[in-house]
Amino acid sequence: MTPPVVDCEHHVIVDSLEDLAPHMTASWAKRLHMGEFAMPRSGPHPGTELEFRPGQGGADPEAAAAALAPDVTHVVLVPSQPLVTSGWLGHAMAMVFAAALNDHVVERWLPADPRFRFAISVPAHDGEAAATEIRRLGGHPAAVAVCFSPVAASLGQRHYHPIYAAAAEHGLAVVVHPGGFEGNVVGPAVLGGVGPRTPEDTFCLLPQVAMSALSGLVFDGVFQRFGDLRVVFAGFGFGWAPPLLWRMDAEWRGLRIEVPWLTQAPSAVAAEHVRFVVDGAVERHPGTWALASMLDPGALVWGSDRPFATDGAEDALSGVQDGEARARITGANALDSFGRLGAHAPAVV
Amino acid sequence: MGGAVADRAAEPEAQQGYALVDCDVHPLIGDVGALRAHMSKRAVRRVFGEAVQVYARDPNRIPHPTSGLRLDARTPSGGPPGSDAAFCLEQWIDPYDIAAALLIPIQSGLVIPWGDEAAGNEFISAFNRYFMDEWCGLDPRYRLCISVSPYDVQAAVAEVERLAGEPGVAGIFVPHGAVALGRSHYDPLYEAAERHGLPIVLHPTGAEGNLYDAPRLALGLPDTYPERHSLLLQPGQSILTSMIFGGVFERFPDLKLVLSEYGMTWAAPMMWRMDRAWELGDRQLAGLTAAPSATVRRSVRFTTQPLDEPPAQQNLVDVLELLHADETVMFSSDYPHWDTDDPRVIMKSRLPEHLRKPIAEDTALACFGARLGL
Amino acid sequence: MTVARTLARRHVGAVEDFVEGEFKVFDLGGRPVGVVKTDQGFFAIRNRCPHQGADICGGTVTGTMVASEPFEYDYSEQTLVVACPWHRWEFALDTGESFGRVTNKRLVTYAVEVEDGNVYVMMKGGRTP
Repeated sequence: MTPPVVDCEHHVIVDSLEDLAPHMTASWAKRLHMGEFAMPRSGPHPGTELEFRPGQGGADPEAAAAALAPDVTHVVLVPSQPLVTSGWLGHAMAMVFAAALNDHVVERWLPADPRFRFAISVPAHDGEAAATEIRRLGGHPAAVAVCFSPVAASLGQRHYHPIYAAAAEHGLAVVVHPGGFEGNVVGPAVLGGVGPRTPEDTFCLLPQVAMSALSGLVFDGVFQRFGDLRVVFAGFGFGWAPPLLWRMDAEWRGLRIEVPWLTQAPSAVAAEHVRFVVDGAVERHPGTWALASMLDPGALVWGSDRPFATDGAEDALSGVQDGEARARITGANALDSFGRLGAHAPAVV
Repeated sequence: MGGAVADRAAEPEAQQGYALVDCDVHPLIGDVGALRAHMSKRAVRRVFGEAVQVYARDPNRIPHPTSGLRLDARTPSGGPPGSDAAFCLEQWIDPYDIAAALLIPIQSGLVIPWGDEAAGNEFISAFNRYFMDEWCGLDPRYRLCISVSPYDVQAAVAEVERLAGEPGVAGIFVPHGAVALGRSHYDPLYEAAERHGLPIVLHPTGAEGNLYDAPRLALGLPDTYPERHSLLLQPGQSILTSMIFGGVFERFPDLKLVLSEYGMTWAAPMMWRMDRAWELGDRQLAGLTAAPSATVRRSVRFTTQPLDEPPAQQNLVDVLELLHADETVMFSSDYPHWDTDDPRVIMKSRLPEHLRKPIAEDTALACFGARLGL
Repeated sequence: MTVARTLARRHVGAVEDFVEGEFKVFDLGGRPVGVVKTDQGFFAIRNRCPHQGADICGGTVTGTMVASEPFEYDYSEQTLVVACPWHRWEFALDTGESFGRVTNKRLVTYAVEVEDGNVYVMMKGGRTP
């Protein structure tokens, strides 16, 4: 049987509001058309302004399917435009937009290839509204994950618990991804320090959002409450993770009295519940794989990051000497992280 | 209570062939009222009015569950840990045979939210004078980082010019407020610092993630002490990227930056990420003539405390290699804070042999030069 | 067949010499040993934290928070731990084990006997004085 090769991060773009009109009420469509609403750009990947190569297509499901590498067995489609809604002030509009995109994926993308699965994209402003959307599509056979970009609140806090609850109900992984406005506008996840920042600053500091998220999830006991939850950080790389986990473990050893619900080390909790998508376009230094060996063997998964791939995303794993480790990253780890993948085998075997 | 000092029979440090420089010791003014004598009535009223805290954050905002200070370091007169220069010699400097202790008094972080810059300047001058008299005046092993205003750069430069030649002055501590360290705002300060051979020293003040006018922690707000403490590396990272990509080291190639108590193992992947950003800008967009990692190796120094304790010792050794620790790292204890590191344990049991002398002595000497008084 | 080790009884004072919750440290056979009186009896530990060697008897003797649900607390007076004055690692006073299993390292403990109002620490090896 073909070994599983899972692309955990393949983005979907929609070019025009017209494509979404069928997926919202006529009045909402009118509301968006009559004002200044503009479709989020399909250009540089949110959060990586330095990548000056605009997305190659990305709006054509048939072309995307045809371009898939032959050994790929599963693809997790992640709509990227709803991610920017963490920077929007209109919560209702954000929800209408994300839901329309989710429906567009179901209607236009899933039929294009039996390998396609999808993440239910939700805005993070309103946990209960997001949970409603997750439940709306959570039973779809191809739904494998939820995806959002955080607002300026720790991921450990109750604000997000409805999202975790709904995801857990349906066995969906929770994918956390940059939105594109971090450090720039008020509302989304904040970057550390103070600005104003050059694009290089933003590029370098973006993983801090995932650091804070990981720290909040663990220390606030989210995985005690949601014991089967898997959280996958996409678009943040992973090289920052071993030093942070060591630090978190050291803090726990001395401060257990404040977080007595943590009955095992933070790094052990992370090993069970947290995953990172390899970011080959960014983390290219050979030392990255030395750091990878300091994470749990199950921690890393692979994603193509299409259509935003710059040099290195496709051959992100070329630095992995060990074939077994490669196979784990592209296969077993992804199947473990996205439990719903296993439920429906692809037609191509 | 406890065996305390007598138990620490001094083992001659000189036997292992290096002197020990401790690059993070925190002296404290137990009674800030002592500074009144050096300030105008107007400034005194501003500074010591009811609304003003002694530390840069409300104590209840995110308190340590027990105490943020060592429980065994209260002074003989019952004062808070770090408030007695003579006791610090007895409990810390002498038993560990510390050749030079870099004093970083972080209470000057008080000025971070102050709009009244004149009052802030008076406070800072009195603050510096206090530590020069009570600590540097007591023992030549005490080497002081003088504080400067983060907002009034002219006053900062004046303070540097005033004190740069004073015995015991080794560095400049900038309480990190609302202005990014990479901004041209600080250029006059960097010019003076470079000219006087005074490294710029940054260290958390407690204001991070707490005050509007201070560096933020990423994402949102933590709600436990261990979470917040784990994330204190983030302001350090932002200082680093701000100064590198702000071109500070292009304009001031001999300036040294010390990032104290922000951690260090994160610096390896960060150096690679900064280099990648530089590459993506075709090596010219950012206006830098050298790769960021090369600049870090040349100009930026990290301190060891709290030294990471990964599950495998080899992990630490490997990461130290990746961050060029023989060039970039200096020993620190963070005495008398709760998460302090014991110098003997760090030097003898944790650090590989070839890194001991560089981390204990050489790198600090290269960074501070004659200002360590060695 | 195990060889029975001789335990030497070292007298460290009278019961009333001790203030509850406060260690007194003695040099016993060249080792610094802290003895503390608690409402659960006397305990003796080596005055050396297994983490970085701090004088752990300069720390606190208290109950502690046991495992609970997130953001609920369950303080147990009965679970007596010594917390190191530095990093606050907690060790059970009776067994020397890390409370919460934050480390495999153990605090060295000694048995204590109280007889006729006198307190004795049981030390391995050495002669009974």
